[in-house]
Amino acid sequence: MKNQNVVVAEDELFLAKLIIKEIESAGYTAHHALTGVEALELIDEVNPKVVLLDLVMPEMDGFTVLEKLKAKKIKLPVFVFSNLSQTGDKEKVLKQGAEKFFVKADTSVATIIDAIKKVK
Amino acid sequence: MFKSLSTKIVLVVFTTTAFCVGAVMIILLFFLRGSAIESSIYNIEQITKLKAHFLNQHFSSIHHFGDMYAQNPVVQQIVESKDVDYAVLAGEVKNLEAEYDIEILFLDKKGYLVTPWKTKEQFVKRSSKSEMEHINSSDAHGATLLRKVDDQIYYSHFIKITDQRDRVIGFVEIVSSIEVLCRNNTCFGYTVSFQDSSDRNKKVVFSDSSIFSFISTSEWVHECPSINVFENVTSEILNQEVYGSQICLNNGLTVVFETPKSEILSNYKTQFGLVLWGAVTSIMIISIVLSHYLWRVLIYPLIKIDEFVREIKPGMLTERLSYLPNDEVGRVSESINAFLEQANQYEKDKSRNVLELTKFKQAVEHAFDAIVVTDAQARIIYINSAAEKTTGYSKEEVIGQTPTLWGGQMPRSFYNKMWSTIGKKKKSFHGIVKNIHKNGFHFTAELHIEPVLSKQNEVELYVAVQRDITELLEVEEAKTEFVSLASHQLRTPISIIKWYVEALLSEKTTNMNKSQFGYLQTILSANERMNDMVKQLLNISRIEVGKFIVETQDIKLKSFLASTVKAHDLDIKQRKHKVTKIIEPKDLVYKGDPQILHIILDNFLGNAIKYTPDKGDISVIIKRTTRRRKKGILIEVTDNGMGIPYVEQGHIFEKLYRADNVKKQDTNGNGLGLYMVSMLVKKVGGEIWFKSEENKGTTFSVFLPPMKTKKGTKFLEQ
Repeated sequence: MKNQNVVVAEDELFLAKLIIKEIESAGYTAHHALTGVEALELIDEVNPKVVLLDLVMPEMDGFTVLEKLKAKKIKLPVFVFSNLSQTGDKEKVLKQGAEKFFVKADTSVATIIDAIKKVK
Repeated sequence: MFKSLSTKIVLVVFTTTAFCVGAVMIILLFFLRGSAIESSIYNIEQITKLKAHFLNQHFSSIHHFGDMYAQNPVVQQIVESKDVDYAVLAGEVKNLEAEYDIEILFLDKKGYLVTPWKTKEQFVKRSSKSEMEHINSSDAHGATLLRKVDDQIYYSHFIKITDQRDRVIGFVEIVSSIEVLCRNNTCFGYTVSFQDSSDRNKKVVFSDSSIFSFISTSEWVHECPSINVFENVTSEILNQEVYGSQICLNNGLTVVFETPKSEILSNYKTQFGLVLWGAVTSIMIISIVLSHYLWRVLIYPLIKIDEFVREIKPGMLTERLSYLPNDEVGRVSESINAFLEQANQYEKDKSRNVLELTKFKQAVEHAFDAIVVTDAQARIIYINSAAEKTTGYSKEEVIGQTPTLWGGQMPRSFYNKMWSTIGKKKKSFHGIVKNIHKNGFHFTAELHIEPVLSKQNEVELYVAVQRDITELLEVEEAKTEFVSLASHQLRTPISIIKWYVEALLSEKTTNMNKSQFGYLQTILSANERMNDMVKQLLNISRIEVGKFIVETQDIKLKSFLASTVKAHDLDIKQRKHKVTKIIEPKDLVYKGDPQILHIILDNFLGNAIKYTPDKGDISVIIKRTTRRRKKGILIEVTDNGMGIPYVEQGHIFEKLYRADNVKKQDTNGNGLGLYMVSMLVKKVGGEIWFKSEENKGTTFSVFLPPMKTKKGTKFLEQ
């Protein structure tokens, strides 16, 4: 069976709830992490197809998660979605191995789902 | 040795006077000596003549007596040994003898005394044969003889007594003591010699009335002269040099008067002493008078000038010397006065300068920024109190040190660049520098160093002004942090609203009527506005601080404009506007930051679309241009919309300003767009302006020069 796991690392519950609902509607299995630490654990656990990673989170932020993944040499499509919207931030995460960067306030949920769907 | 000018003057004056007076004195003495001798000789001659005259008178009396008795018949009879009564004669003779202190004798022709009242023995042999011959050969004047008897010298005058046939029958002899001749001081003061008419070697000499003796001398002149004056002859009598005169008397006596030369010169010596005394006195008086005069005209003014100059102190420079004689001293005084005038002027200027300098120094001292002045070797010569505060070091600690005391915290390359700028190129340097405070903490400062150059273009001083921007940076940091955080925090609810409204709108299953659907759309659009506002606020905060990054590239304006307009397609279609795009030339390329250009164009276009009634005409023209000698592009966005009321045109670029007519018509604006655009245009060296007429339309124009890449810390929001 094809891997349909998606890890959603998002501490904002309203947003997490909606995106998880949409992800599951699209036929994926969503795993929710509230902190960067949880996200790393879940990634180890479920080996997801895609990771949706917020940048500002308690315990460990998204930048650190990216660093850790890189250190563990785990190669996964990571979509950073954040409201830290400066070009600097965008370039930073892309350099750290993220595949896409979405500004939450500028992006519709549908756009994210479409991006997940495009991952092979 | 002679340090005092007075001593020198006295010395010179005394020497000069002594020399001059001495010379005059010598000339005078020489002259006096000559004149003394001359007058002595003259006196000798006169006195000799006078004395001769007296002597002649005396002798003529004696001669007269002789003559008188020679003619007397009684006397003739006596000498012829005839008996005659001579009583009367004897009485007469005795009277005469007593009166004249003489002795009158009658002699026979053989020379024997025949005077009856005289003792014969006494004179019997008194006349020798040769004497008799001399007496016999005498003429009418008679003959004279000098004889020495018992140490007494007598003078005898013989007159012949003749008979009627002129035969000599006897002689009258008148005998006189020679002393009688020198009565009445005739001989006084002189050495007088007499010579009788018989014997040239028989002389009698008187000196001061005392008789010496017969002496023989060669002084005599054989011819009997009327007068003969001689000088500088060594007298055999006196045995010294004498001045003298020789004269013959009527009776054949020759008289010589002699005066020792020393006696004549003694008079001169007295004169010499007088002259010498006068000379010394003159020297003293002249020296004193001259010295005093020189002291008055030279030393005294000098002392006055010296006292005056000594007493001159700062603040007394208006004092002037009042003693101004018309000579060198006066000119010195004038020079001193002129100097004082200059000094006074200088002091005035100086005090004015000092005042200005003090003000300036106070300003520097209390300046807000740290100011450090160093010499060309970077040794600190001054720091102001702000610098003390910033670095933590006191003035005393840093003077003579170099600013590495608190510097040296930057990479080597920073200081190399700094020194090459201020030291080699002698240009001002500007930079941000990290320093270390005395207490060990770091601080960041904005540093400006200005080399102060000499006329020879050599660095004399460096003036460094630094502003501690640590706090500013911290505030900046905090502000950025805050804006970033706030935007993030704001964006989260914006995202939630967006996502949920979108979810609602996309759920076709929901039973929603048209107005409910419309409400949701309004919420979504308001949410978009809020999101835009957050972006604009972020941009404005970055533009204001000037920290935004400019990354230039060649922008092909045709495609760029097309894509910008296309982003507004939805609105344009909705409002049924007609948009004209003109690029001149069509392939115009602009070097600039696409993000900045986009913000500018996007705002203009957005406003034009928004504030033009439906079916409006909007044109965007971009063309190459030159403005104020700068090459660049001109962007003009024109609409035929509501325009900007004339009274509000001056405020259009102010932050949060919205024109009244716009506010009424459209509440969907925030007053940030044009403010941001105008600021951005200015920051990249461009210009912005507009033309507008209410209800007719507006043209916004922007001139942009090619942009320069600028490093910063923040990108702008798209």
